[in-house]
Amino acid sequence: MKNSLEAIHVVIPAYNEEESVGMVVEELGRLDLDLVIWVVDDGSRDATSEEADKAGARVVRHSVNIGQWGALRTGFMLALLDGAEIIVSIDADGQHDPKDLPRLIDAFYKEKADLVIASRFFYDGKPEMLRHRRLGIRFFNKLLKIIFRYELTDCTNGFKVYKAELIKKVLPKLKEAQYGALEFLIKATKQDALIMEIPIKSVSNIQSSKGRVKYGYNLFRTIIKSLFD
Amino acid sequence: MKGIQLVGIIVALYLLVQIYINYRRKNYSFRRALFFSLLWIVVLLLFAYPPLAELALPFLSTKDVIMSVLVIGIIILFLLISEIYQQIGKIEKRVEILVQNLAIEDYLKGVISENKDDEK
Repeated sequence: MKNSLEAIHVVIPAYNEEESVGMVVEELGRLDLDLVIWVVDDGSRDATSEEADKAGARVVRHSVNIGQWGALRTGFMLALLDGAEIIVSIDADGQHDPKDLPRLIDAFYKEKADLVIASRFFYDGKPEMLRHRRLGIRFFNKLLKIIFRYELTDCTNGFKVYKAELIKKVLPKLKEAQYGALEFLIKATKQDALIMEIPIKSVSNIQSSKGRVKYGYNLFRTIIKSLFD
Repeated sequence: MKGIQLVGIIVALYLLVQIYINYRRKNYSFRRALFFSLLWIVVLLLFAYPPLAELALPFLSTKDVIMSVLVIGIIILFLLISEIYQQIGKIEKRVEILVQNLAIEDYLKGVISENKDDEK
C-alpha cells in the first residue's frame, strides 16, 4: 500500500531514548508507505538526536524537557506547516511495532476516521504490561465512559493516526503539556470526531513513567479540569 | 500596641504597596489586585485591632479568638498556595510555548541554511 498523493507524517516524541529511537525510525522507513518522520527530542541528555538523525528522521530539539505532549505539539505544528494531511504519533521506546502502522492507516481510510487509536486491549489475551498500569488504563477508560460517554479500551496509548484537520481544531484548545493524551481525546469527542480503535500487540516498557502514581494522578486531574472547560 | 502587631502592620502595608506597584506595571489584572488588596487590608485590620477577629467567631463556630485567627490564617494559606500553583501553571505554559517556538525556529533556520548551501 502506498499513498503517494498525501505523505503521512509520523511524529515521535523522544526523551533519553538513544537505545530505541533509531530502531523505531529505521523500521518505519522500511514500511511501504510514503512517510515523513519527525523526531522531537524533548531535551534529552543522551544521544537521542544523533541516533534519530543517523536513522534518517527530521530532528527537532527542545532546549529543555517540557513533556511528551509538548514534544508532540511541536511535531504536529511542524507537520502541519509542511502540509500534512495525516499525522501519526508513535512512542520512541519501541513498545509499539511500526509494522502495525499500515493496518491503522488502512482503517483510517476505509472508515474515514478522524482518529485511529491502536489498542493493546483488543488483542487476544492480556496486554504485555505491568498489572497496575493495566488496571490504571482500565480505570481511565471507565472514567471517560462515565463522564464523557465515550467507550474506549486503550485511551492512553501513544500510537495514533490523526486527521490533520482534527489536530488543527483541537491543538489550540489544549492546555496540558505533559498529560495531553486524555485532554486531546476529550476535546476531540466534543468536535464529534469519529474515533476508532484497532488491535495491536505491544511490548512492555517497564521503565516508562506512565505507570507511576504521579502520572495517574495527573491524568485524573486533566479529566476533572476538562469537565470545566 | 504590641511589637508583633507593629510587625504585622508593616508587612501588610509593604504587601499592599507591592500590589499597587505590580498593578501599575500591569503585572496584575484589576481583579487580582483587588482580591489581594482586600486580603491584606483584612490582615492589616486584624493586626491593628485584634478584637475584630471576634466577628468571625459565630461563622467559624469557635469561642476562641486565637482559634479563629488560626483558622483564618490557614484559609489564607490555602488561598495563597492555590494562587502560587496557578501562577506556576501559567509560567510552565509560557516556557513550553517559548521552547516550542525556539525549536521550530532553529529547525527552520537549519533547513534554510541547508537550502542555501545546496544552491551554492
